[in-house]
Amino acid sequence: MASSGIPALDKLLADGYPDKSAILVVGPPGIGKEALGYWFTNSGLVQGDFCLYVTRLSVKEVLQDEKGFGIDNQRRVPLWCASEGGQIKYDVNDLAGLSFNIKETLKQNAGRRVRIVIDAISSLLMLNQPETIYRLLTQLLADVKQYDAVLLATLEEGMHKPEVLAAMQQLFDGVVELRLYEEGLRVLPLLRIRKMRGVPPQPGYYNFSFTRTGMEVSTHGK
Amino acid sequence: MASSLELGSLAIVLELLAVLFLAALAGYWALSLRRALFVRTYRNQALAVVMAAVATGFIGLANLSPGSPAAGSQTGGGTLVDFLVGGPLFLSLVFLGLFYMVDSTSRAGRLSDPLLRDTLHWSKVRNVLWGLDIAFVVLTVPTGIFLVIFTFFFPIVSGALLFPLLARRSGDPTLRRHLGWLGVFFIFFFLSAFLFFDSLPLSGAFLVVAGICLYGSARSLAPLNRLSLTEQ
Repeated sequence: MASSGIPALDKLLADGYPDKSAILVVGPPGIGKEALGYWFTNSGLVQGDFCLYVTRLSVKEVLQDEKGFGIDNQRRVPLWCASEGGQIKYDVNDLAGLSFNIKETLKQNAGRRVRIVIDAISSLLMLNQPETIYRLLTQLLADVKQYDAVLLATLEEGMHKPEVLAAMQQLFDGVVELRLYEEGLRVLPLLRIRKMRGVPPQPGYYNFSFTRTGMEVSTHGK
Repeated sequence: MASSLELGSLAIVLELLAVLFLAALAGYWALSLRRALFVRTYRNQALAVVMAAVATGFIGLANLSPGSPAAGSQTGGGTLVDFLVGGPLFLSLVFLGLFYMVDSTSRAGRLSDPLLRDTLHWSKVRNVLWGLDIAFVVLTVPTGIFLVIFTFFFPIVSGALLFPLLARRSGDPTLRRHLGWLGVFFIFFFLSAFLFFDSLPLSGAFLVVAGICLYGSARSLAPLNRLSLTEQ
């Protein structure tokens, strides 16, 4: 298992994300999906795993955002594939290049545990035909399973058609939802493990909040 | 004659109550959403809606409360309402708050553009505009009402230029809806606060529409789901 970097989430997932798996984190903008990627990367770097972080933002922007979640890891850094400031240039129009870079990273680190975070799927889906992105992801996820790797991707809620969201959820081994729910006159951020390979279905919702040391999760119930 | 005056006064009081209710509701929803979000850009966007709700409430008090000159007070400009919410400094602060709304919305809008375009070079232009706007607000203290006109132009002009572009570039239907509500809010807010501020009850009616739009914009800050009882 690959620790999510968040003890409370690891507990829900029975020790973390499954080996050789691809996890999708779905939620609206601003709810903190990326934080799951930050903690996952941070935990990997601490354990000596090789980490690749793919983002459409600049490295500076991601580091600023990380600081907002209490992560300030300057000594250990992932391999950045970013629009600015990374070792690999992220170009939203170059799908082949993105696929090549991820495969190369996997090949070059064949003997190690590799963690990949992709925070760019929504923009790729908006700029391309969904079928093109399904094909790209199907190939990528197959590659991830050939190596000792775990991939975590984020997807914006509300930006894609329901059928696209459903198709994306089918492709991944695990789906974690972070969503906003209206309950009476309150708005609650709730977490749900929609599916996770190797873990029995969990129908419940969990309250969550981010603290400077990670994430706090508690069962939501009336 | 007397009954038509009474009817007019009743309409103004009802408008004031409606504006205060809508502003409170919009502010409450924006604050609830702000509490549920964890990324600074989006929390700021929600906070800006709270500020706009406060501004709408205060403009309602300034124009529609029984003590205000526009609502027919015969006491001149010496009431507490005039002092607190009718002065040039207050008005320029209200417009500074609305400029904050334009700024925070445009920053959130950039993130929803799949190409991450910096619309109208906002990341650079905003620094200059903030400096100028704050300078004008400070200068309203010695110069009075004259400079308020300039602070009013900052949010209205930048909003009118940015919002349509942001909506077109954004890939997020929720943000597009939010921008639509905000655009209509801005139009009715300025109709009420500037163009027709002394034409009651028309000004109040415009402010009520602005309040409805602000509530719509607060509700469309983020997609909301409902818990189904079977899933809990």
